[in-house]
Amino acid sequence: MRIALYCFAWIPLLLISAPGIEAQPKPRYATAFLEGTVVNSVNGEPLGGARVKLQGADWGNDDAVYTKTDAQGRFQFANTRGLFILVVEKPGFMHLGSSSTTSARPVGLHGMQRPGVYSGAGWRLETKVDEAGELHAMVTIQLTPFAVITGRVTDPEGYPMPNTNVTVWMRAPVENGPHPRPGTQVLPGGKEQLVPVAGGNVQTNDRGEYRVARLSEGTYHAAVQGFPWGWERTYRATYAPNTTDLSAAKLFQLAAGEEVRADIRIVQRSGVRLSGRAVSPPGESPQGSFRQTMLYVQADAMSTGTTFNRVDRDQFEIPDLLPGRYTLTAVTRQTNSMNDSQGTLIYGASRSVDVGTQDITGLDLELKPLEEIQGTVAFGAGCTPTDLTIQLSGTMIFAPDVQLKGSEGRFALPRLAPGHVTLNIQPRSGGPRWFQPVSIRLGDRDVRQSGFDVPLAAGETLNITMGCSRMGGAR
Amino acid sequence: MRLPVLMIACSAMLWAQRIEGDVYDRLTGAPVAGARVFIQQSGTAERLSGRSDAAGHFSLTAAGPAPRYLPATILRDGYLRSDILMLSAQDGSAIEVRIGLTPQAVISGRIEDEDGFPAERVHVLAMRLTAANDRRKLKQVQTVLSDDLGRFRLSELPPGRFFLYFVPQDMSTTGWDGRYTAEYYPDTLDVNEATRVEVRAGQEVSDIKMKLTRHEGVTVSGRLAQPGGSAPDRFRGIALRMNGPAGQGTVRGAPMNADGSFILLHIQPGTYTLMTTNSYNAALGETVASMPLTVGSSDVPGLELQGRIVQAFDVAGKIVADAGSLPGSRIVGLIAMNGQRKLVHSGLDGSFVLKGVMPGTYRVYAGLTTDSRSALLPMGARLGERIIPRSEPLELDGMPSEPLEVLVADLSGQQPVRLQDASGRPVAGGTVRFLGASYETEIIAPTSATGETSVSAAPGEYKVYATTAPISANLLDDPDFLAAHQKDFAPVRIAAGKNQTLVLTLMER
Repeated sequence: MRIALYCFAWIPLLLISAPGIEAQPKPRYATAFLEGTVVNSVNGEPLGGARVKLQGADWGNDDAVYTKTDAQGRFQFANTRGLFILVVEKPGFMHLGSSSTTSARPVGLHGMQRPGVYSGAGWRLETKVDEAGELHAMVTIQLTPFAVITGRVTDPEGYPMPNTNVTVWMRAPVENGPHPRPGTQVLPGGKEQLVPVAGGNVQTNDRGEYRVARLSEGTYHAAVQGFPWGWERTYRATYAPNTTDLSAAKLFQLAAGEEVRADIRIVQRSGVRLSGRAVSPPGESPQGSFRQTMLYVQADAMSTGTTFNRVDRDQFEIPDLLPGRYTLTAVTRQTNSMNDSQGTLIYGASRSVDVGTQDITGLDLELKPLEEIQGTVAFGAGCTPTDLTIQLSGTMIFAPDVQLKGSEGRFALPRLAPGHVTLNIQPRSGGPRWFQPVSIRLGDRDVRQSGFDVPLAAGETLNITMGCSRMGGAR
Repeated sequence: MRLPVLMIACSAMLWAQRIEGDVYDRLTGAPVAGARVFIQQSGTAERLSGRSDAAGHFSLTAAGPAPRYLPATILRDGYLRSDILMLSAQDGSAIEVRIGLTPQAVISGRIEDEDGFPAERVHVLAMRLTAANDRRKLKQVQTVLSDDLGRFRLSELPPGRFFLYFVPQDMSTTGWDGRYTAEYYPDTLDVNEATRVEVRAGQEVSDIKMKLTRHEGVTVSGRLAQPGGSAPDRFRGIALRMNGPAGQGTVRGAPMNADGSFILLHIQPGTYTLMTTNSYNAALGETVASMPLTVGSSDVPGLELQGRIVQAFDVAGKIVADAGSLPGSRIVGLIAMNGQRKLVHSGLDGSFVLKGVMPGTYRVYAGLTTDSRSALLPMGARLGERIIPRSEPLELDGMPSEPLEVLVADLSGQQPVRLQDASGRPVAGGTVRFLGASYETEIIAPTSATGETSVSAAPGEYKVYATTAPISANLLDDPDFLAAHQKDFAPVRIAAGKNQTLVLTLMER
């Protein structure tokens, strides 16, 4: 069930290709029918009153036809020749893998040109040809009751906190876990990760209330991550119910269809001051014309937020740090003009620091030149090289997506700040969706799931192998 | 309601570090407990904050010498946020201030579609008519997204009458049904047929039930002719941009076929701009095409969009301040409708060059740099003989043949005000408003504990109005109020430089 959550939400629930769509083989049938049943995935009971949309795959919802399931959860469409997208929806339910949008849509299936049985997460489809030469497709769609986290955020004195950012994170093991998503944070120890939930970042209303729906069965944290302008600087990013310490945060075990309450009372606490220098290479300056150095401070055990400070000349000072272990990362960015919002990172440095109850002074970071990361990409047997997009995610990512021409076989990632990086690789927009990375190797290690640390050792390169097996398929 | 009578007097300059205040409910006069008061001291990261006690009282003490102006914000759930500007006392005595909070109004309800399913992720906008530049326009006051149960809650509303506008989130290719489109409450596409929802201060109207209905609309189709007959690239899309009373925005998009043909379904009657969308490729340039389109009750087939390749261009210009004053170095540039910015520092004489500007629709921006000495208000732009007012977008389809002049008003007029009651006692927590002579601008200034305030304004003729009553945050948003109270506005002229203190006396009516 968890794995399905991380399927990409853009793929419609079911792509149904009636015979005649694919070039080989090319059988012809007089008529095609699509019959289906919608059931509750938890208890197997039929779901009446669900609405079903069948639309042409080429033109979005423009030529869609609609129906509703009867009391037995059944629906039927006639004359379904062509390539279609089937979408099923019922309030309070989602399809496995659905995102925060209203429609359930996650599993793609192509190439059902022969009669047979096909299945994927949450659906099963059987196609057969009757004696009259008509094609019948019978599909069973499972919808899952979604879980909900609601709650109320109050300040340390118990007054409601309006316009406050609440984030719901799924806690999942790294091993056999989902493909990394942007924003995923591997927890200390490397065995567990916090995964941002699609649609799980919401704002409280004027009464301090929030609601995150469409959650699948799993284990979650709820945390206040950002405060509206003007609130106390000593208010802290806080996990439910009332802690800044992830290890003390409440874990919410949600079953399908369950609604739990996660009230959060903000922690207010003063911290200590930390100051030092970010020292540029000899002869270089940390700031100047279109050049700026920033210091980013991230708590190792508190994954809800990073503070940043501008380095003034080479000095920095951070007020109000709570006790704990932090990673300080300094980067120098060079832009060409005010129009250049991205610029290039040229120097970087990173170090850990343990903060106690006393101010810390004289902390130095030695900025060093950053290097591009070189890599190769290969395609598995039977996979035609296709253009790819590499999304970078991690703690210190300031780089746009990298567009990679599959036929070239080589790529270069931009200069990255020191820190942990994971790659999400997918075909470019409009390309075939069933390409997935099989391995991302760094030397002897496969870092596809775990990610890797930059800077790399001298001479190290990333080697990506892409596969192209389609999801689903005949058994 | 109390009305101002104008007198001329001298202002006093006082200093202090302690602030004693009382927060009360403007409707009932009762003290408000738990109101959070904070003061961001200008030019520093220091912030004073505190909370009112059960009697509505709060006390704050500054750690160091207070600056002349102390801007304070007062927040309390259930009330509208209040921003006041206090003048610090010169002699070290305490500032005493009374702050009235207006109870918020709330409109809440539930949205369903024709199937009775809750409509999730619908943008709900509370809008009201404004009367800027003597033209009535709809202005968004508050917006919220409906939840998975179809519920919405528009809070922190000032009292007034609001149009409710419901915009389904996924109106293009990913929504459940492309026939659902943006509608006004209770069930109309036409704002002239919409019903306004009236809500008083402190009131919650919670029984709004909105049923979205499908509208077939018409089909718009055609073809993009590429320059040189080349095929459109695969990432190109076609988008319709709507020009209407609710503002501009893309109402529907669709991919373009390999032969350049496109079809847009379920388009409602209205006036649109049909345009291509694409990302710019610096090497290849970008093919752009757009055409105005009026849609009625019939399909619109066979449109021919003529594409042309454009390259980014440079825009040279100058900031021009009125009264001939030198603007000094400013941040100046263009902000595209999608939020992308092209900003540079101007030279000391106001000249600038914006490089790499794409054809498009922009707003002109002129802002302060950290070393700016005086405030400038962007009033618009001029290209040759053509003047583009600040409220209108600037269309650029290529390098202008004339320099772009960014027109700014010099806000050099300093107008101190003292607000007092009929007995001559200072009125704290009042609001003084200067309206442009033709209602094109509004400057709002709250009075301090000593009844004082001051505004920076472009020299010129104004109408002034003062009150302690809870009225809408922006008078220009409320044409009903303007019509009813125009006779109460007193004319005043603000000259360049520092003006004599304007004393306004509130009269009980």
